[in-house]
Amino acid sequence: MMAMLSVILGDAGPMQRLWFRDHGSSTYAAETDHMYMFLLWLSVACFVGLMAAMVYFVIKYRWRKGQPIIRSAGHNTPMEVTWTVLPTILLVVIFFKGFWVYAKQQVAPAGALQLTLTAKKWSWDIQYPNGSGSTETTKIGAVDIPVFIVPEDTPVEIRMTSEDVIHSFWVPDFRMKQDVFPNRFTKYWFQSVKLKATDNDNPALGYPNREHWLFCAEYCGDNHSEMAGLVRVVPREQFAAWMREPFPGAMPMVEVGKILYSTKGCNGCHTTNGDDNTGPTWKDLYGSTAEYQDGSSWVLDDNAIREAIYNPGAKVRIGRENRMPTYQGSINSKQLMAIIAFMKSISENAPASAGDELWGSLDAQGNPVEAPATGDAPDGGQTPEQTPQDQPADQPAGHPADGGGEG
Amino acid sequence: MSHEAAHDAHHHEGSYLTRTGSFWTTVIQWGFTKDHKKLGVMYLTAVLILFFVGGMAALMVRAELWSPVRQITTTSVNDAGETVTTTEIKGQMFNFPKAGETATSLNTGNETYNRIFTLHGAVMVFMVIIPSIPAALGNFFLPIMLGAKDVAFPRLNLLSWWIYVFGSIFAIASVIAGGVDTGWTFYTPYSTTTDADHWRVVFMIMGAFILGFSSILTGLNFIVTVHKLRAPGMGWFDMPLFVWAIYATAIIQVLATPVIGVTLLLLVLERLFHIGIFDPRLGGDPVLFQHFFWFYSHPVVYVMILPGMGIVSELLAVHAHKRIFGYKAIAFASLGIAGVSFIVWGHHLFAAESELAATVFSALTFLVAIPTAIKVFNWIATLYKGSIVLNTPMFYALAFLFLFSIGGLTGLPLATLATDMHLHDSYFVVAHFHYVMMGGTIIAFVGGIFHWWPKMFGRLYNERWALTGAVLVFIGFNVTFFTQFFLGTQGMPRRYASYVDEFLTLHRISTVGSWILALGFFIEAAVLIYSLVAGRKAPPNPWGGLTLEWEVESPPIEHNFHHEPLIKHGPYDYDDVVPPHWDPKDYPLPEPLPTGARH
Repeated sequence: MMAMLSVILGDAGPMQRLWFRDHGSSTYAAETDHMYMFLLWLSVACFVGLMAAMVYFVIKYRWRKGQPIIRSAGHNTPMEVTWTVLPTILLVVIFFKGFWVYAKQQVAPAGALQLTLTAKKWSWDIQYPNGSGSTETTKIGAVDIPVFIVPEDTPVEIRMTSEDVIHSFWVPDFRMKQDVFPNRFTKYWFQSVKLKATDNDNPALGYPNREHWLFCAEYCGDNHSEMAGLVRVVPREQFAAWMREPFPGAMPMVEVGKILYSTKGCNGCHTTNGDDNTGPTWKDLYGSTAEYQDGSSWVLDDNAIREAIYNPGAKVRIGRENRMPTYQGSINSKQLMAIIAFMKSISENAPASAGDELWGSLDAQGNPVEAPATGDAPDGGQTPEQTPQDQPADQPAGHPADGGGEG
Repeated sequence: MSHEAAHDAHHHEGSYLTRTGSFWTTVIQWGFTKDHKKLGVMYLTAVLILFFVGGMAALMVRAELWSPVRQITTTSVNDAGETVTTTEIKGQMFNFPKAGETATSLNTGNETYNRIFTLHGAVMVFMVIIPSIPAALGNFFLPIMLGAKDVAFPRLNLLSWWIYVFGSIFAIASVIAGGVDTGWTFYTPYSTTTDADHWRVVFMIMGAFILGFSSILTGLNFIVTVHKLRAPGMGWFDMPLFVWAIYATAIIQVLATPVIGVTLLLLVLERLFHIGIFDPRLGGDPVLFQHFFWFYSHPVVYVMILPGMGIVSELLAVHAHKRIFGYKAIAFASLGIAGVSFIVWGHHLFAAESELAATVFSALTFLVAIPTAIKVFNWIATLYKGSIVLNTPMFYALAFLFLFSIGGLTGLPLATLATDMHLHDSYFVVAHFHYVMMGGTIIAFVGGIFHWWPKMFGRLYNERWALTGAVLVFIGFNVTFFTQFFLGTQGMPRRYASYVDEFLTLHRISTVGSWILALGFFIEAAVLIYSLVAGRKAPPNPWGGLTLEWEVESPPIEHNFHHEPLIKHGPYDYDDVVPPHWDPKDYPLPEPLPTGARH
């Protein structure tokens, strides 16, 4: 009996299907759904109890002709204390349950595949480490929307910023959303669940896949409802293969950043080899801790770099004076992301990215390649123009940028 | 009637509605009246007209969502034998191509839709819900319930009314000029950059800014009235719970509204003079606006709901002829909610703010649930061993308990961080706040209108039709908005002019629900208008209520009371006191209390 009830009412039963389109396609979705179903049944129990009492009283104590008014208590302290304390305890439990799930959801596991996203009215643009963006579109209503390909069962972290107003990145099937701001970076991470052989949202592909809507959830004007995308989860080897064939002309983010380092004049004051100059060296800078003259300190993350480039005088490090002009207006958000990618690539303090593994060191079948950059990986079909990743000289071995260019 | 015979002959003054001159004299008398009742009636009229405007906008929103937008591509062969491909946008309500042309641009229809939902939100929040109960019913009944001749500052009250009119003119001018597409929340930097060279956005913001002053002054007036003008013998705990609720509301209005005033002013400064406060391109921070905005707008949620709770306390006690259960608990819960309302604004920013802030605000938000739950328990306990008459006002009170409970309980997954990450800014939120704002406040407001209508206008209404309308409103409301909970969990975002096909069925059910809801309200409007024209004359106390407004004439005389009233019993002492001036012949439906009937 209890078993049957738990099947019907449980997280994956028909009641769950009534509320959600799927079972949740990210690793943390199951916990969100569990939390929701817990709250749902708690609420249903409270509501039915209250309404049953109300309807019963209205019928039982309806006014009848000649009936005297019944004298009754104006209050009842033990009862009132009970119905104050019980909900309080319940609410504390709910808060902590919700908090633990949330806390787990907020921390991306180490080694996530790093993607960057720029949002603007009314489109999403995801950039992959190889410099490619979306290479495919599909239709929603009256507009074409991009398809974004992500690997199954791999943590993916997206650094996001907006070029105009506030947007919000929401993939309902992942049960997570995050606002995207014009003046800072925010992060969204997810890890899709493993694909089953029966997952085949797009049969034309010929391999298992799941497709998930991506919506803008913060009102942004005329075509807010058309600001969508499709996130397609594919097997890791398919993703690796796709990544090795970047969009024609695409240049890896790190490469773009390296070029900008020179063309924007960063190299005038910042070195990449560890030597000090007018400004601090970029070697091992990302992820290190900066001490400022105002007494504060900041582990140099995306937002810290952004602040230093756009608003250099705001925080000056101890032992330095600010000699840097603002680059607001001359370095746009995509260029900024590329520069950050370059800085990360030359810093021991930056977290490792799953891109290394997925893109550089897997062959088309998804098997690990023993020795990277030996040139014998079976990745035939690539032309030298499409793989400009083999130039960087001052990058640590094994970085994504020198992985794909075995040819 | 017997009680009237007891009065001296010189007390036969006309009611406040009695006309003393020509039509234009009367208009001027009303326009410059200091009588809280006339001001209450004028607010009521304005609020109901604007409710109609906002409701029409809502119906248009639902109509647009009847079907998703599609692009239809057709290929045909023209006279010259060439193959011609044409694409056409279908499924937009508000895309009107010129005669002979087909709709090809998506933006026109979408933009109109955005203006309409903004109109709906702004009108309903700033011009309907906020002033509805305090300014209309509060103005009329607060002084009478306290045994006062008027509010403490009648001239200030008149000023509040004209400020309300003035602010509404700004907002309506903005709508006539094409409307704004910012959403009622005016989030930056969208609101500071959209329609950049047009004055209408500034006018809408100024409208909301000016309306705020009306709100502050009314609140101030009510606070002083409650402190200073209670009738002799009326202690704080002899006040009706409606008065307690209005009192708590007034405190929030006075403390929180200045914040939105400053915020909206900053917004206007940024738009007009490009002073960088919220727009990052000018060096501002858009999230700062959200903090400012919700620091006011969350307490305002309780400005909206607390008076509704006050009305429900009255309706349940009077129509169940029962001492209210836990009077003090309900009174203090009102104040408790008012206090907590100031420290929960951050829960509107769960997807925007830091993890630490989100955690703190989530915890604080749960605090609101406690006094709210206490109130619901008390109301239901009030029904126990009552003498319940299920008439129209009582039906609205029960509908409030039903709908508000759903509204409150669906707040739990929104306050819980893990689930809110999914539900934030989705249709789940839309459904939740409609259950609270409309299922709570508007239902209580309409219930209050039916409860006090005989008192305000001295006319009875057709009970059967009124109840029919109420049932339709209840059904229509649930069909419209319960559907939207499912839309939300399944992934439908807010403020979308179109949607993916899988949401079609649920959207259509919701739209059909909006028609049932509208039909219910039209019936209610017809019932009330008919009662004004041809309703039977109402007795002073048609329901057997014990609060002071049931001791005065229907409609009340200019100064409310013939003599300064003396408080001889509490507002809900049904088991001790026979309702005064009670004549069963006055109101045959439903069956009234027998005189002298008590334990």
